[in-house]
Amino acid sequence: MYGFEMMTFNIKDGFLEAIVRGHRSGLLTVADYNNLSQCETLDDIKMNLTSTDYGAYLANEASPIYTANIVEKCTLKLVNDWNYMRSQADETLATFMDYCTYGHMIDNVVLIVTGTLHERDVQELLDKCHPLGMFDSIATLAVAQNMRELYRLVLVDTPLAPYFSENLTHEDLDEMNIEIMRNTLYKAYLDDFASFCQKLGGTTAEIMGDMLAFETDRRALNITLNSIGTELTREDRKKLYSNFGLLYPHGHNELAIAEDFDQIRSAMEKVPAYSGIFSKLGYGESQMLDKLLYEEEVKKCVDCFEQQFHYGVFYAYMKLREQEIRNVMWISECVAQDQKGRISDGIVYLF
Amino acid sequence: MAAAEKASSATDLDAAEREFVESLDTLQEYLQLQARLQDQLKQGLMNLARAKYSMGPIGQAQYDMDMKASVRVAVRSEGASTTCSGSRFGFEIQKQLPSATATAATAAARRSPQPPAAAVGRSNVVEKVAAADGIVRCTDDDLLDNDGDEDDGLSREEGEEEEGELKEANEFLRRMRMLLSGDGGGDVGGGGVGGGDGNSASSGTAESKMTRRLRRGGRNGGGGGGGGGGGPLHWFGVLVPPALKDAQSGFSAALETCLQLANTAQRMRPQLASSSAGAAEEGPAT
Repeated sequence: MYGFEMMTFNIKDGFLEAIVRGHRSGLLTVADYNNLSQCETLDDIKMNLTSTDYGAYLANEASPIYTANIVEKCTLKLVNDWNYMRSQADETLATFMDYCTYGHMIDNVVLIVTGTLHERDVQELLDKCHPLGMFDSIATLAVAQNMRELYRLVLVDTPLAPYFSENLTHEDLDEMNIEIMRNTLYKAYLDDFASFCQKLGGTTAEIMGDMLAFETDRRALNITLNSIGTELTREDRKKLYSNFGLLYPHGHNELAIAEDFDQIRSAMEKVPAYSGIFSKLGYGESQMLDKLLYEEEVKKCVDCFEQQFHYGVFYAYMKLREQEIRNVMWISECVAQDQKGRISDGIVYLF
Repeated sequence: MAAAEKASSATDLDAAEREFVESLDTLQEYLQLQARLQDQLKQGLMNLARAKYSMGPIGQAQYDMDMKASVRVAVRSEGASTTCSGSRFGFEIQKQLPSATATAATAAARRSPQPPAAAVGRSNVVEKVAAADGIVRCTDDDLLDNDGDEDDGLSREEGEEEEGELKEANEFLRRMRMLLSGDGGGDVGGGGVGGGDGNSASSGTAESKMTRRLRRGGRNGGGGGGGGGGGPLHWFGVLVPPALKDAQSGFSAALETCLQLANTAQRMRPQLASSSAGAAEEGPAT
């Protein structure tokens, strides 16, 4: 019953909520980012990060260190924290945490299939997969030649199986098919995740409903923006939008026919929640849009922690940690390229 | 006699002065090109970082092992003699086009002395500069032409032809494997992939003819990977962020600037050598 979670939540999930709040307090602050921005080399960045939660992961990294190494070690920290919590979660929370990782699973499937199409070595591709999205039979994705085989041979035994339709085709897997598969899987996954959260009810349903609606609207916006100038038709583009969110259905109709950034802007500004974001952008300017959307997401994630006794904090922790890794990656790239003046273009402060 | 000697030395001085001024102009051009190249590379790398920020890790794991160069640099040695000692080389870009397009472009060029704008835009850069002398003096107009039309044409042309016998054989083998293993169906759950929108199954299986045709083109082009601007970009996905497209165009422009730089350096060295030789002669004379 809504509002009565405080009576029962801590019985099974209280310990893990405390753990995730502990992890949240270890996220980098403005002072940490200021220190990182003063670094002259990547080794300086490594030294600064050793005094944070990432210390144990970066301390033994040999010089010279590269941006990819820093990102890999920071990601390892997130993966270890997540696996620790997942291994101790009860059934409902475990299912919720698994849902949080299905996005990475979809990305890994696409990476393997695309890499196989380009005749890359499977082991090399497996090394590049996100650890949170791994499953047992992932290596056998390389043998599939079309969508039907992909499903029948591999994905039927994975959590992604329900996201495939009845109408699988024998069409070969090429870049366009794979991209459409990625976005269609993601659409089905978000729909399913939202419906699971609604079934949980209570504070979790309320908070996760808002977070997932934002996620699906952001995906619709990125799909529209990235498909400008490509051969993706309006009908195919519209099929990739989810069936919920603030933009559903009228915003989706307008986005489907948008041909440039200003048309996208006029569609988004009709939604009051997003008009504030677009008012910060100049006309025709789309470069800062990513950062503004991430800022909005971070704001929602931080607000999640204001309430107790719900599962949204786990999802929010994952998103905040990923944003922190993106920040560190951006700072590292700017330092490595000697463009420290551009650091502020990409950092999204969490607190 | 003395007057004739005076006149010839004045002429020599004028010629030396002209050479010196030309060498300074070339040097200035070289420095400007260097600065431009630095800016282009900086901007390209920053765009790449922005693309990583938007879409996640981008790396060599996504490269196509079957990649072929879409742009090659050809070296041409100078045919005519020059006033400078030593050989001189020119560098030019050769853009690889599918055979049908190149044949059409050549046929169109043969039909009329002034080929239409579309054929000119699509023709090989080498053909365009072949009428000039052996050294390609790459100007901004020659090198920094808009590749957008070419790339669009390439991506549409690729769907209509195979790129080699090996590709045909691979395609045939793939189809045979599909036919042998693809009979009989497995029952699958409801969802979205393959059929598109679950609400309308008939419209879900039907996709626009344009997208279907381009998928076949994408399949053929994906194997080759070297077809031009669209091909390599698709290694990272079809829906890539604008930053990645900007990075690609930035690095393409940087490549052309590199060639301009090399050609300018080739022009500059003999000019500077002759200028300093002339100055050395003048020294003892005065």
